[in-house]
Amino acid sequence: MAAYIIDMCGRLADAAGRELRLELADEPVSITALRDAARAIAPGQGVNWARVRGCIDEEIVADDACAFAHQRIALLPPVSGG
Amino acid sequence: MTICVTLSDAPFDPFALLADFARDAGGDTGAIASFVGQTRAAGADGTAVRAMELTSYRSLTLRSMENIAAATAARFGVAHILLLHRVGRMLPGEPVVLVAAAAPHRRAALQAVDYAMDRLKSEAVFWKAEEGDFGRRWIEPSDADADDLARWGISQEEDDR
Repeated sequence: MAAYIIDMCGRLADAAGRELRLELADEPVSITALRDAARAIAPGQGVNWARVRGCIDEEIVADDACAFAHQRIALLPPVSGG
Repeated sequence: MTICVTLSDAPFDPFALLADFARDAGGDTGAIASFVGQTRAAGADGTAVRAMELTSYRSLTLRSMENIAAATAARFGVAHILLLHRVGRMLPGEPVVLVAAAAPHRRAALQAVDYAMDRLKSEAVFWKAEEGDFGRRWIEPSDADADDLARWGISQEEDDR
């Protein structure tokens, strides 16, 4: 098992808190898999999960990008702007 | 050219900072334009808002602001540009954002501020929530934000990253 710590941004933090710990069997895993796992635990209200993007080591990445547990990972809902 | 981008979790005095900006821009600058955004006491639907909370993902947020500042400076040829944005919980009337641009001529300075604000409002990596009698609600990008971007030939889809 690998323990992933996910920074949950914006409204995602309402349901999951600022950090979500995911215990997953695989490593690495895709952003899609991380997003699905986060959604299963903390679906939240009004979250458009199809538009939630992944970020690995402070770079926004494609859904098929893979992350290791030691990396800094974030899930980002659509931004509100400033 | 100088570009100054700041993300602040503390209140700031925009007019003191603007005075500093004008002084630092020097006497050979022909025009300085600025915009100060404040927390509104009402939401888009007119309901009273007691507070607004802006959250960020600091590294990405700063990078998005830096990209906007650099693109603004390049597009309008401004010599100096300042972008400062608050994060955290703010009460109505508190300053949220300061944008200032110094350029040889007024139109470049005015357009630079307008352009930077339109991009900040839709592209910068912030998440915004309002608090009031309705509880707490998240603010999504609006059609007006997309229209504002379109004025500069930028589409929301292109910008949604």
